Amino acid sequence: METGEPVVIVEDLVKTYDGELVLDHIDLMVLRGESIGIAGPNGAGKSTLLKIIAGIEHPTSGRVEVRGRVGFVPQETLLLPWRTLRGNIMLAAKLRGIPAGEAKETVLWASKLLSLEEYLDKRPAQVSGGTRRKAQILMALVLKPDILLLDEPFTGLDQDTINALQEALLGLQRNHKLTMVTVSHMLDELMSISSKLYLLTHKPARIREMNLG
Amino acid sequence: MVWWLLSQTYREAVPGPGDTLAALREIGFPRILHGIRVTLVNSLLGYAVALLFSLASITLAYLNKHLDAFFNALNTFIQSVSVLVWAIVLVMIYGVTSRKPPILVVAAATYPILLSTLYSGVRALDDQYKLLAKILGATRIQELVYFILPGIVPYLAGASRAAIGIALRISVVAEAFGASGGVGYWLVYSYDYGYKEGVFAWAWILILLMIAVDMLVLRPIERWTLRWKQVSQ
Repeated sequence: METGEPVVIVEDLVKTYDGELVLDHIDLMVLRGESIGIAGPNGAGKSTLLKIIAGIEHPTSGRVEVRGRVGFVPQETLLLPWRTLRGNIMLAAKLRGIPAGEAKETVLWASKLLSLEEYLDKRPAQVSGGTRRKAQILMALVLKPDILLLDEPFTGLDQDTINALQEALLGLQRNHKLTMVTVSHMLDELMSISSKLYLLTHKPARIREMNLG
Repeated sequence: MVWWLLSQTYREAVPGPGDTLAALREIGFPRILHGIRVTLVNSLLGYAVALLFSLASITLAYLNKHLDAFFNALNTFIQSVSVLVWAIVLVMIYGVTSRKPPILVVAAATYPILLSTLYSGVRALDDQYKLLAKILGATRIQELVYFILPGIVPYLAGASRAAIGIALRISVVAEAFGASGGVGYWLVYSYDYGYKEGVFAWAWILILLMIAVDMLVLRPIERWTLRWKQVSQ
């Protein structure tokens, strides 16, 4: 795949829940290597849009095309409490058919980047919320994604952790040519890691590009 | 104190602590040990059979909704049959000298407890685990193996604690009906011969056995299964 090639194409996407219109004819295109942010008020449908792109939810109508492997970081920290962080990450790799050797290699460099090395053998209940969040991101990275989808990655984190996480995400995007789509209600945080910003309006949500200049 | 008062009030029926201790000495350590061993084996084998069947049932029920309905109905049926009925029917089938009736009676009595708790566990299990399984593209079997079954281990441990306690009590009833050994057998044997001190001695052996199993085996196992809920930081 070449840089600049469209890797996420959303055309005329409509999503309804029990007859209520949530996403109203959304069009979006993300190019390879781009990092875009989608802002919007709580309940606008940002997570729904991301889940549809990730293939976890289905659109009511419209077209969604994703070219490449997707790593999805959900809004809630979803880690199995009986496994260590490393155990969770390796399970993700196993279920997605990533060879153990390759997965261990990713864990090695990505845990360094996310400052997670010393916590890998602890269980989720033994570490802070920020560390759990980073582990969740590592869980997506171990799948060797071409496109990383992040749902509210900064919620509930203190400013120092947010800064460190932003730096790590920018490093990932630059050094590994990752395409990133981040949704958040925190506009400032979103701006610092996105080259393009979109706004989802109140329900039924429509999308428009924001001028960053 | 209550025991001593009862023994003073109902001298003919209730032996005092001293008489019971004397009976324990008379029964002798080897016979007590043998009785405990037989009862423990009956209880644990019966529990193991129930555990195996309940795990198989919950697995099949999770994978197929028709089997889910079947096991729900089976559970209701088994729950509604009295232990006494199981004991009599199984003794009629296998005979008084067979080892099978006590084991199978225990299995029939503990299976509904285990299955009901496992059902509740699966239902109560956080939907987020299922969402994670979906995100990671797990198949239905992988979801069961990596997310559901490990998630219900604490429920299983809690249910096992109750089930083994019941297994010990039920095993004694079954032994009383049709067996040639075990605490229940010796308890009824003592009763049949009007040896009230023996009845109390064997009753105390059963009580102490249950407390010991609960404190030394079941509670540590339950704590171990919940270790991942402990926050150390």
